[in-house]
Amino acid sequence: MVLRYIARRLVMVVPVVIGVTVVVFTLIRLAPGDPVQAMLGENPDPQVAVLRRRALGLDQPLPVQYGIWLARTLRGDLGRSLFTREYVTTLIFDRAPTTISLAGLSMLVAIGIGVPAGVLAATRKDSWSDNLSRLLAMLGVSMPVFWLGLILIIVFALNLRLLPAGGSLDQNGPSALVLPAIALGASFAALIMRLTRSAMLEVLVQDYVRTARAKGLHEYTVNYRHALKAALIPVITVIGFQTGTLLGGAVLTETIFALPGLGRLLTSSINARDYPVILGSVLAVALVFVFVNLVVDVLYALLDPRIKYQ
Amino acid sequence: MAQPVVHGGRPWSVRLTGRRGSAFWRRLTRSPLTVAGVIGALLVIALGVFADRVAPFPFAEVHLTDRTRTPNLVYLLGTDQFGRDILSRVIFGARISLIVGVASTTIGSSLGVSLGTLAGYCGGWVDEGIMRSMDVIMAFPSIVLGIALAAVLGPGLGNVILIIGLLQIPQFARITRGSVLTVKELDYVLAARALGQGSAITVVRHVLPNCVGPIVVLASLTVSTAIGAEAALSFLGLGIQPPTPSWGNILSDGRQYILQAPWISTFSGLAITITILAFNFIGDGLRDAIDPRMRT
Repeated sequence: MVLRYIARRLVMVVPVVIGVTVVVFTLIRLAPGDPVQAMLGENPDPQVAVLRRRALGLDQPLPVQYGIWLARTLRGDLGRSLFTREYVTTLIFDRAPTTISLAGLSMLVAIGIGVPAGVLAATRKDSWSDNLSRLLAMLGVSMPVFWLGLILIIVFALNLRLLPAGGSLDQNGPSALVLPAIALGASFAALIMRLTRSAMLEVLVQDYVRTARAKGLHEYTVNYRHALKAALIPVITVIGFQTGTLLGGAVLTETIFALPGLGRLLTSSINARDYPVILGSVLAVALVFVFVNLVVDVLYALLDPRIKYQ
Repeated sequence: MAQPVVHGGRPWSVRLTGRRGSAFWRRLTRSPLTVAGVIGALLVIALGVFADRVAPFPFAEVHLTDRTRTPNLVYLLGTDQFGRDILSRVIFGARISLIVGVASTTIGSSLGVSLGTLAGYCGGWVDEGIMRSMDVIMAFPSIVLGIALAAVLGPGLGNVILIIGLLQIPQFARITRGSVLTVKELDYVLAARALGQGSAITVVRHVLPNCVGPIVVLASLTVSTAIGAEAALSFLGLGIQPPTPSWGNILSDGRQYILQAPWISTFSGLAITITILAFNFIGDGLRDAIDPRMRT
């Protein structure tokens, strides 16, 4: 049952991946400017330009061009930066570790704050702590990550001088990731808090939880060992699906904190109109997102016994 | 909002009059946060509409002798690097944000609801084709796809509205499709079709009115998302271009002067937060009022 579900999901992901490549290729073709002119300069020799265009397949019909581009992409060739001439794949792999570290740390911050806050709010429903938590959660979800990042820089980096305002890991060490992770994790924490509260409220009225209390178990044991385990299944699913939002937020966070990650690569290449880098980065992020969603779907099937019997 | 034609007490229908309508308004106004959200949203809308009269200075007026002034009695929120009044720019920024929020949500909801209705009602290959296309758009993190589209299409108000509207289509399509799939199998819809009513009329008169609830909730939440997305794109230099003030580009301008003039970024960010919060409160309130079972 589970294997069939997983196989079905794997099959469904193929058209999505193809669709993603078609969208990125379409955007490449719509991007302003002539790639041959970008390579050869403003006034290239017309004969050289024709030969280069033929060599790149740019004189072929669009479906053929797509096939050539896809074949190159599958070989890991996303082209070169128009300005630095570095391979886009190299640029992406150089910067990916910073983005992955930021996303991972943000996820830890979010879960570390969101889950306990959600449990507290659910177990003290309609109390002042519940209302305060929900208000803070709404505030967290509403605050733009780039604004929160600036506030954190003003308070903790410029005024209190407790932490660096970003920069590279080589320069400032792991502490360079603390403020960015808090900025990015805050809105995610708010979302997790709301979800955990909602899921816990559903679970806390279940008979088995009532039985656990009737047995005289400590409230901590009832809430965290019995109720939370069941409540976490939908929360984990949403956490996984929100990875895309986290990756998107990383783009803005890295810009604010000048972190040398994928997000900053994307924004700096936008300023330079470096289309191969822009679209290569977009493709990489999209494929990671599709892959993470697939993994979450599979984990969900393994965690939730109801899926097995569908 | 029109009263639904069909009776039946479906959880997704929205009644504004009568006994059921009174119950809806009672549930809506019961929450102080929803009321606060409505007041906040109305305040922002009023500022946006009457910006020309409310703002103390024109948004582009430069006072070179008063550059980066701290908030004072003349410039209540201070001035920026060109001596422009921050309060005036934030007020005019409200207009831009509301235009983008409402226009992009209108585009997203119109196209999304149409596609979702088509997918849900027709089923089969039409459904598969539309929903797989929606899956492809949703395969990209929204801001990343927005950045790519803005880089290709260029900055500016029109493009920002178009891009954000396009990014919203999949959510509306999915939620509409889900509602239509349920409603189209109900007895009164089957009866309408059995009586020979055409598909288009059946959808418009019987199916869609009973799918309105989740769409309305999503629309109010989407306005807040759109405002945030516009701010993000403008912050990155891909949205509204100076000198036209947008909360995002004011915030971005303020980054370079974060030591000397932190108020430039602070107040514009506060405006974004308060507006998004207001629409989120409204969206939550609508969800609780329309279907209390959907409460979080």
